[in-house]
Amino acid sequence: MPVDYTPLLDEELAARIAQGDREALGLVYDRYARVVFSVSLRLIGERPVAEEVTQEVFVNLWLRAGTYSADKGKFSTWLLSIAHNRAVDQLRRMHREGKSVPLEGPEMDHAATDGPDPAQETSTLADRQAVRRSVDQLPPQQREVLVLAYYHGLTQVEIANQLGAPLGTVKTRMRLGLLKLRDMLRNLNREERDSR
Amino acid sequence: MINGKRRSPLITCENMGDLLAPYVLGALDTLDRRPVEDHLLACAPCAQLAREYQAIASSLAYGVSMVDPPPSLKERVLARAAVLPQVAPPQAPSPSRWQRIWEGMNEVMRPRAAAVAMAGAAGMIVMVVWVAVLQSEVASQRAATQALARTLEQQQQTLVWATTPAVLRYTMGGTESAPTAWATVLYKPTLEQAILVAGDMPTLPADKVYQLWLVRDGQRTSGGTFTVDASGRGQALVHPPLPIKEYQSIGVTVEPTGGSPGPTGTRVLRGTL
Repeated sequence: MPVDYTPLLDEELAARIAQGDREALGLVYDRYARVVFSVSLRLIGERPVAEEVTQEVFVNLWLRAGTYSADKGKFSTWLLSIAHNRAVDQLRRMHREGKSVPLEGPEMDHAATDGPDPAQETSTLADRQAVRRSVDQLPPQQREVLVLAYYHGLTQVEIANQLGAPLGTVKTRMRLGLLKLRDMLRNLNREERDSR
Repeated sequence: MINGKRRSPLITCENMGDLLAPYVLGALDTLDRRPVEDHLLACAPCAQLAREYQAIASSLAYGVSMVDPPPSLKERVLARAAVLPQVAPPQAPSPSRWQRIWEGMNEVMRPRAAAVAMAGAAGMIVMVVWVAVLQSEVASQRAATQALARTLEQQQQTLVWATTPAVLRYTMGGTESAPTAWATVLYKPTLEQAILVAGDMPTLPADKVYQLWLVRDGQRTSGGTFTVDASGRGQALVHPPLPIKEYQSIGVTVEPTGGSPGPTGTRVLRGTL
């Protein structure tokens, strides 16, 4: 009798992937391919390269699922950090090789629509709105360094040069921005729970 | 592995506070990221803090406009998974007897053990020596685990490339000085990177390395240096300055550690492109 994997937690699926279960890999792909591809595309700007990065992320997940353990934190955090690192590495490689990468302003691309999203859960949509609202509400200098680093793939030194700010100031703004973002997301989650 | 030229900064728990935010945001370059990762492998409190920061940074992924990947991508991923064997995670070396005893003590027992030792001068000396030995053992075993993890990562990357249709493959054969030596070069045009995997290479003294040369119109350009293990196997990631088809041939020579501006030592491998 086929097993219904849908209710399984990410961490349980990761354990099944580590045992060679391709169906579990397919389900994790369904859950995360969209966000992995979107982050890669946001950073790199070229669909074929973003597809290649996304493919490598999930193929490497297949190969390396056994290296994941709960003491590395939540599975989604682990996977998304690997995906972001790979996309950033690819972006910097393209810069080194003189390939142009479409650059947008330091703000997030709010004008773009999310399009039809039948597979995504409502909570994911709520997550996206919460993140966007929280980033928007960050103090401008903290928002600026987070956006330049995470969405544009700039190094801390490049950010300091671009802003004409001391490196130490950039580091401090990054740290304060992350902590502020954490507090705001917590508050939004709490408000959401209370409103139910 | 290509030998790095830049010295890694000294990482302590104190300066991790400044590095963690740029680290989790991807704002450190590759050379600065590695020592941070090494410190996180060895320091549980910093690793815990890093996980907390990482969770916040990863939430930013949901702030981008969502775009669907093409449906065919899932099929490609699953097709690759069907032919790629999984690699078991590296096992940490088993702890020594002294380390097991020390790590088996809880937070209450360790201070008591220390108090007993301090009861007498002789006991104190024994304890100091014991702790020093333990620290040394722990440090060397962590380094071994990290080396294993890096080797595994290299092997996995090679495996992925070896099964990618768009990757070009070239073979190199041993010269008369090493007739059984061989190497395969896998070149990925989209990334303009190559992986060289060599085997049955003569082992080298500590002050020597192998250096790869890319030959174009008689001009030799270094492709980087690498070493081999006791069984004669080695691997290197190569960034050719030009697309590999611009070169006519490749070769590997023995050179002093750090590499040479041009080939000076015995040629061990050669191949045409």
